[in-house]
Amino acid sequence: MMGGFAIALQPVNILAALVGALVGTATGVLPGLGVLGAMAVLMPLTFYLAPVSGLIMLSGIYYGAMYGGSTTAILLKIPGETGSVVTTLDGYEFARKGRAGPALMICAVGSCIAGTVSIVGMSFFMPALANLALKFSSPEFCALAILGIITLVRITSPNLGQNMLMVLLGAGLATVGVDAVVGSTRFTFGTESLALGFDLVPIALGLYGVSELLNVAQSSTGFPKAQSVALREMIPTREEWSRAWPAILRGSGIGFLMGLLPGPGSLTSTFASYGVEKAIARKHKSEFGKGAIEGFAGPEAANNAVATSALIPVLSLGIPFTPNVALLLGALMIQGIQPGPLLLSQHPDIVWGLLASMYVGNVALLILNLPLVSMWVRLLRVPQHILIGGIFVISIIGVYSVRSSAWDLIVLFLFGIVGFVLRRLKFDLAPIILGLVIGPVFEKAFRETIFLSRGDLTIFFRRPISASLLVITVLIIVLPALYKLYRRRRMRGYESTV
Amino acid sequence: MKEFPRVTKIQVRCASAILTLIGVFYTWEALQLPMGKPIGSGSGSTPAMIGAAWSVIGAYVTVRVPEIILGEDGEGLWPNAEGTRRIVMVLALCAGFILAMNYFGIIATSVVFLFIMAVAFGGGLFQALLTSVLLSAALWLVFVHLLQVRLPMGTLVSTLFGG
Amino acid sequence: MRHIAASTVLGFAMAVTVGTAQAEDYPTKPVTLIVNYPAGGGSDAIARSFGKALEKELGQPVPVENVAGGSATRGVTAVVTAPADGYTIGIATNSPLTFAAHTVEGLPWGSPDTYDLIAGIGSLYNVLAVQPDASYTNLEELVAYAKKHPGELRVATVGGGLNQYLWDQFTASVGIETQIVPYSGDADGLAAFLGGNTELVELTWSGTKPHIDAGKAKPIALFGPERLDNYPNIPTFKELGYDITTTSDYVIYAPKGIPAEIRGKIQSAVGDAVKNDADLRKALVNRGIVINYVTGEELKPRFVEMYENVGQAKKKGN
Repeated sequence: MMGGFAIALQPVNILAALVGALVGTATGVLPGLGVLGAMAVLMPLTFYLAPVSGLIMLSGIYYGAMYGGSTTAILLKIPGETGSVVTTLDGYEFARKGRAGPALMICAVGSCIAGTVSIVGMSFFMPALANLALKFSSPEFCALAILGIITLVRITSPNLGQNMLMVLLGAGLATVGVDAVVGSTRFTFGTESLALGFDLVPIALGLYGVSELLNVAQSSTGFPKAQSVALREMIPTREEWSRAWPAILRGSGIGFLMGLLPGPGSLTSTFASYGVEKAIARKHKSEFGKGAIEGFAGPEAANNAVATSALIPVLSLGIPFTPNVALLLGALMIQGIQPGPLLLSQHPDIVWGLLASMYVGNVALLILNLPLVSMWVRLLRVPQHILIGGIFVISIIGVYSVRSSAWDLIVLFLFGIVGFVLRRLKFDLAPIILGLVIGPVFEKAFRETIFLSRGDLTIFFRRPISASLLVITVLIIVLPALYKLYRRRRMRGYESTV
Repeated sequence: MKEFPRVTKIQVRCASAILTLIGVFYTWEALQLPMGKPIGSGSGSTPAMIGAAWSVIGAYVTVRVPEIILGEDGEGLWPNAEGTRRIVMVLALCAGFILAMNYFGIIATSVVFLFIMAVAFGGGLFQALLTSVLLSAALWLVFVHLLQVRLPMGTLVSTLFGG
Repeated sequence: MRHIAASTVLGFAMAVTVGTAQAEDYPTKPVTLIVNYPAGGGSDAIARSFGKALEKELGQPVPVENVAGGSATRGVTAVVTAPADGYTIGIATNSPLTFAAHTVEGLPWGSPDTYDLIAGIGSLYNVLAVQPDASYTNLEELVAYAKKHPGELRVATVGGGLNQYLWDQFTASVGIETQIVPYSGDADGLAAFLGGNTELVELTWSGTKPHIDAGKAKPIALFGPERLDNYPNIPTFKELGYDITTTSDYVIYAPKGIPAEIRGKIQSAVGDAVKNDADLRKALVNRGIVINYVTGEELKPRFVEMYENVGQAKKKGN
């Protein structure tokens, strides 16, 4: 590890970390344009750097984008990255109270803490945790997806029926287009547009970003105003800190564990962290959805912790579970380094250098962003008439750039309108995103399980992990109902004795 | 300012009914797809499960509409006439942007779009012109030069100038 | 201002003289390279390395455009429908061109006659591997085991494309029955295999190699024309008596109808880049690709054959 730091702290590597963090933050702030695009574009640049420097730059981008996505989510209710959808719920409301600066600062510090927790966890437990990912196979994912939907569906609104409908709508949308298992198309009605399917980025940006822009356009109040950009106003109060840091630590833990598993960890971990914070909240429970600090500090930390721990399966097994880390793997391979079970013993310098450099990238991000907080808050001082048009144009370009498709722009605006109307009708939008993300995980896992067991459904109960996950799911459904019944009985009993 | 009309339970019920009908149609389409061998592994199996649950829960939600509690952000209220007019204008402008983008290129389109938006939302003419040009130039610099994103430069522009 | 006026005049002049002069001067502007996968994947990395190398040969920038989606068919559509002037070319593997062409609806292209294959740059082999503690240690024993236990062996592979096609061809020719478990990529398939969920794995050489090195997977045979230089101990299916040599070929292609002179220039630039560019060669080799430059003319019969085989298999399946 010490040797790693010696490598990471060379001036050229610190510079690479800073450049990466800066570019990453910029791409995170621009909605639509994802971290993946930025990393892919800059990858050829890293060919000319030493392997470690190149990796440092890429991981700087990776972290920067994770953090940058929260900036627009907090200030404008527009998720800059799909991972920051949850941050729009409470972060934006918090900013509306005039506390945009502290919200951003909590996120910056939270991201750094989460990264630290994850990196420390990684350096101690990497070999031990590597095989955890292998214990989870298709049946376990299927059970986990069901558990996730059941526990997270009520996260933002208590209307269980409507929320389930939204989840299924999202899951249904995700099935349109190419069937990833056999490669054929479905629900396309012979059109090329529908064969492209509904991508997560335009839907998330439409439901949250565009619908909010339409809301701002029709009302006269507009975006939150920044009263002051003085540094004093940027620093959270003691009370805000004391509420934020336990949430940050819990979020880091959740994110660290979820990053180890295949699947869309970055988004689901934010939902999970929000759910946990809301469930354990006592004094401030009513604040959720109206600007609870825990409601964005936790998810933001979780998001960043995933970014780090997702590297464990890559470095120790050579198996990338998300596109972002697949790109890092690609960068390693082009340098002639083959990640896999032998990487740690054959190239310890690379592994420890990478860990140390990720830590340097993390700190570089914090140093870079603390002074930038007041600059971002200044964004709210831009006159409304410029801001609205500007965000529209950036969103259009960002979404278009993902896969050069006009269909994605149609989806963007279609779901902007749908989101606007559904919000008016008091439908909750978060479950749509949840369904869109978890639906495909469920389908893939379910069908793989059927193939593995040759059609035998009892496989779910013959495997200890999936069986226990399903038992927990059943308990979560049954226990509250039993509890209600018990209370009703007792009440009746009480009445009869009276 | 005019009153904001309230959302009624009947409107919510209609929306749920529409969503349910989409669900029924989706289920029907899913049942036409192969269920696979072993059964359950085909393209249609999971959509059929999703669709069945969708239709049932949709029907339940259509029958039992929850009370509409007004939200802080205007949830539970419709926009008033002026607001609706502005939304329609914004959406029309965006549609225009997408259509014009391929012919005139992203830069010219952005300048015009930003200018109209700025004027429509109460900016001064000169200020609107200045900011729309500057912002478009900045976007061009960031997306095309820094991030090397391929954006439509306009078929009209390229036929005139040979690329 | 004068500069703009001058370039406007020049632009009009160029627009007028489009035609004969264009072929001689080609290329006079950037050549777009369309890759049919999103930014960030393995094919994207190869496309970007290739773009850099081609840039040096052509003396013009070669920007990479990611047109992803639709089982990787959308990028092909973008190339095929582009103007046939040599300023839009594509890089793809044979899988979307010959497999997805049959499974995705509404495509404006299909058989290899509907696009122009310019050259092949290299191939990725597939390998069959088994659990290290399996009772069978070579192909002969494996086939004997499978014949005794029909349907028992499960093989982790990728569904719908080349991977499954190879496996189906093999099992059909030897007459054994196995259970295919189609995953969405190397990563998922390998994770399932390493977790002990399947008995066999049939995936790309580059993905499986590190686990073979670590002793977690035992290689049985390669789907490829010849043995690998670095691993001479792994036999090919062909040597063992099963003539299945199809590989995942990276090709450069273009819309139909490019002027012959321009096509020749692109072809020789691709050839020079593949044969001489050290950076490109390093990037390809590190990705596990066997570099092998072939002209489009040599490549086309193989594509036609594969396209027709898949079409027949699909018809039989329905």
